[in-house]
Amino acid sequence: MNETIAAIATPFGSGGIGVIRISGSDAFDIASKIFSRSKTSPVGFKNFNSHRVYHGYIFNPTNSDILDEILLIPMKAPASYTAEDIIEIQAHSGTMVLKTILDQVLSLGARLSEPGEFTKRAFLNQRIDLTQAEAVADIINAKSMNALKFASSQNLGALKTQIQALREKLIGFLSVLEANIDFPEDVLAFEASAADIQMIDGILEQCKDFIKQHDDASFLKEGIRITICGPPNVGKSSLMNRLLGKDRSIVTAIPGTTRDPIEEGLNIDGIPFVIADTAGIHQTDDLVEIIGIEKAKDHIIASDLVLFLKEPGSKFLDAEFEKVIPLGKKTIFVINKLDIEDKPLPKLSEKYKDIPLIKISALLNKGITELKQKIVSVTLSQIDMGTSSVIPNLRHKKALEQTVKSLMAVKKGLKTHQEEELLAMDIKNSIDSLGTITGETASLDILDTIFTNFCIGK
Amino acid sequence: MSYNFKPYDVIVIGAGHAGCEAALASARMGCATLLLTIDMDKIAAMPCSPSIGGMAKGQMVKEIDALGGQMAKASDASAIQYKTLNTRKGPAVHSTRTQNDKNAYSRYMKHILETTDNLDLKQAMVQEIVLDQNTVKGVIDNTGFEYGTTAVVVATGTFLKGMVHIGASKFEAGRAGEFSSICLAQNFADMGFKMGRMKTGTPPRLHEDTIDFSRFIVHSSDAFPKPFSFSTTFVDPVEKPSFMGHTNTHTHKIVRDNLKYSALYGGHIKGRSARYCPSFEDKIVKFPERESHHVILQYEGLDSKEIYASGLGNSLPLDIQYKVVRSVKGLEKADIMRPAYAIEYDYVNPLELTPALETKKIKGLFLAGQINGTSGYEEAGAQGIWAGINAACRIQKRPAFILDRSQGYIGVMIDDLVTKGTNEPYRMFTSRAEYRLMLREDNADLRLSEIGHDLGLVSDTTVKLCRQIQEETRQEIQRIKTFTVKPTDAVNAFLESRNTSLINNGVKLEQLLKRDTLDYPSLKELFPPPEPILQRTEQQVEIEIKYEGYVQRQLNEIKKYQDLERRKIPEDFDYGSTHGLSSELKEKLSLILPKSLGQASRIDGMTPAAISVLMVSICAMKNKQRDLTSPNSNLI
Repeated sequence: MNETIAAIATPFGSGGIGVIRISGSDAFDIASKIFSRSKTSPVGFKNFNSHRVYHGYIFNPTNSDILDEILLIPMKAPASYTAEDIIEIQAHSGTMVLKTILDQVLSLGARLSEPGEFTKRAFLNQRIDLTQAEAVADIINAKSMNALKFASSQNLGALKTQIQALREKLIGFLSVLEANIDFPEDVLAFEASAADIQMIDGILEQCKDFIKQHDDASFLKEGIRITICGPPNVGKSSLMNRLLGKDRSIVTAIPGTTRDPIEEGLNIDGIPFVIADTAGIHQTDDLVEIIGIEKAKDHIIASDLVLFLKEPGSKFLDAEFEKVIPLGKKTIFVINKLDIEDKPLPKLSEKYKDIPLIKISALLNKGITELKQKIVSVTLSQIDMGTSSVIPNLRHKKALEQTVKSLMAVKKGLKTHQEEELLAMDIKNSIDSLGTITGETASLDILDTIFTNFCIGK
Repeated sequence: MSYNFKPYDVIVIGAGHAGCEAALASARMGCATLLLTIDMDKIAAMPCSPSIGGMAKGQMVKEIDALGGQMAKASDASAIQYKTLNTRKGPAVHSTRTQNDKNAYSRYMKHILETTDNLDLKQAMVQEIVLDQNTVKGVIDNTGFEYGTTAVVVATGTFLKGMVHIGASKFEAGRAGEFSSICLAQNFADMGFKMGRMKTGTPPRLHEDTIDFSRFIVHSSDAFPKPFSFSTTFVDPVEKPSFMGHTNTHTHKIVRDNLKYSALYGGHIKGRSARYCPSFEDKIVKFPERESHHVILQYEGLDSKEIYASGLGNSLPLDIQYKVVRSVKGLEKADIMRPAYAIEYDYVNPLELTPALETKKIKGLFLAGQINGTSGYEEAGAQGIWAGINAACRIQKRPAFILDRSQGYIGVMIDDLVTKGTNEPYRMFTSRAEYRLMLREDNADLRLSEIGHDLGLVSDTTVKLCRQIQEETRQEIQRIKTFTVKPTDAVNAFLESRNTSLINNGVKLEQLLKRDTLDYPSLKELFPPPEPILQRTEQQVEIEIKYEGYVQRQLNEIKKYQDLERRKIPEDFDYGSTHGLSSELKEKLSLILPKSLGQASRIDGMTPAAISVLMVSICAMKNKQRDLTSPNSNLI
């Protein structure tokens, strides 16, 4: 805990200000080596007063280039987030600038922080307790209002109660086995019954449901993945730009412009999405294009929703559709270039009548709102956001996965008449992993697990 | 008063199962040892069941044996029946149990005590432990005679303020017919120990000739008795069977109608009893729907007519006892030679003890056995050898002898006692051991004989044998993992005969051994090892291969466990001023003074949040110390 750490504390890409935070005994020293109060005076400012805002400039110490005009706030230990000396530099955003400043800081002896390390130090220096630390993580990770709602402690309490009920069933079952082992002359021999297997199955189902609820809700934290695909030059990049409301993708009249999938975050109605524009999929011998097309296909496989674009005058071939989109993948069929009025619209065959169809003109900005609404409704129909949902966090999910693994072993053991002491081991494992959720089992690597889920800089 | 002889190194008070093991261990480690007993005719007496071992207890007896203790050998010398329990389950839960001739057991132990170097056996009732400040200096008996010593092991069993109850009558006794130890009990209270009261009991002894054995089911010894001690090569006991019968609704009615006369239910007894060793009245009251309970008749000795009637322990008046006994089929004419009774006695809260079983308040004072709130001969014996070794270690300025929970059942028990305490008589069960799979009877010596050898309690020959088994096991497992079995006709014919699937390609011998219907002896015929190996090696190889996945998991768990045990809590750690702990926990932690984060995590009421607070505070404390004394890194 004696190294000075540094990181960019604000998320990449958005906002007008980026913050670099340095924590540790060298923080003030490092800052003074790159900070000056005026453009012309040299670096080496030493007399930082705690909690004062200093206006000035960050210099590259080797060549005296000005990197940025900034505000700098020193915070002397222990009156800071980590209870160590902290320097916060408020710079202009722009990834390059922040990165360069950070590089300077690192070259002067700070180390890039690990995920969650600032908060870990706050905890270790007893500035915050464990529940506060976990709450910080959840708040940071809640990118949308919906996620914030689900991160509330009310739901967490409900989860614990339900898990405890499962645990009690398993404890009851374990005690029968243990009685059998420790009192072989007083208790009847253990025979696995259909009812036992049924009970284990029931608990397995419930655990899997909880896991699914986490996965569904995690969409809300990380963003639902949408991929825009279709033949070359159909207007994918134009659509992307319209959805984002800015010129993100490079649009030219030349087909084959987009080679790499381009991803951007997008928020519709409070739900975060990550939308990707891909290379036009078609037959080609161009190697670079082929690679781009392969990447597009991979993207489609990994995404939650596909926008499949076609334009008027083109045919819709089932074969083309099926080659590109895996069976069962949620899709919206989008017909672009509605501005072209003289060509017939492509039609979907009967067997695809359930796929929603939206007509737009990216050029004339028509139908985009309708498309956004359709995207939201298709997404929400996939996720059960009923009020009875309890959302386990990632740590809970891992515990549930461990429980499922143990219970599958129990089920197998019951069917193969495995020795009681081995069955008991697997049941005990499942009880213990559920116990890490309810807090009964003191898992001492909880601290490590919690803190690795933080993103860098907080 | 005293007589001019050199003070002893260790004095053991009480020659029961704990006291005998303690005295022998101490003497064998080279300490001048004195064993004092109220009655020299009652050495290593068995006040209750005429049996040694059983579930989890057999494992402890083997561990005592592996450390060089006496219990298993005494059992082999006096056994009249051998049984291995749970043979239909896996090897981790196989346990040995003998029925023994009580007198033979006692005579054997007395003989060993009398003939062991460095050990003096004397008859005396100790009244007081003499202290110098807070360190033991000597003991005084009830005639006023003083013995000087550096360490004392108290193994007084049920004798501290022992009170026997039969119906409404009660009398002071350590066991029926034996003096109770009153002054020493008072001495303990005066020294400031937290005493509690516990209760146990014993069933009646019936006259053999008055029993109609034809109404009972005969239980014989195992066909091939397996010796208890690793050093006993062969046993051929004169065998006596045991007999199983049942009580009936008539029996139960008698008890219900007379419940108020029972000492237990009449409110005369305040001590806590054990839930898993219920008196007969308890069974009637707690399980009223049951129409019959087991009664098992056991011989107390080859040349005795006394028959122990297991399952009928009670504290009813003698006339009611007769009614109860004679209502059982086969016992209509049974004569009671010794009545059943309940006994209350003082015990010391084991939270007062360090993991070496030394009291925290008084240096050099060790407690072992029922005085710590346990029940059972084996639990007592295990604590005895542990305390005896530690007393000797203290004298010889060696580090304390501690086994952790992954090394033996004994380690589990001691850790439970000094970390969690107990308020009912503590008995060992296999389910208490997290690493049950590794703590088996068959590998007790492989686990512990090196340690016993380092202490001077185990012979070179024994250790050599263990090393040989371990080396052979390692090599044979290697061979089995790498040897390919070819799919010949002969092989497949064999597999077919064993009701298991045939092979088309070469498979490793390991894969075959893992199959349910195959075992090492059968595979040995077809694929023998290059050099003959010991039978015990074969056993180890088979267990390790068949259990492999589970063994690996246990080993991983043990590693994590031991990591936590190594995260020490500094001795001067101040719980009182630690921010973030409840006052209850602060009190508990200050009383128990756990040595490591691992031990702390096992304390009753400890939460993950509290553990993280401790982790953080210790870390902070170490950081502060390091910052203050930076050049001296070895101060941390």
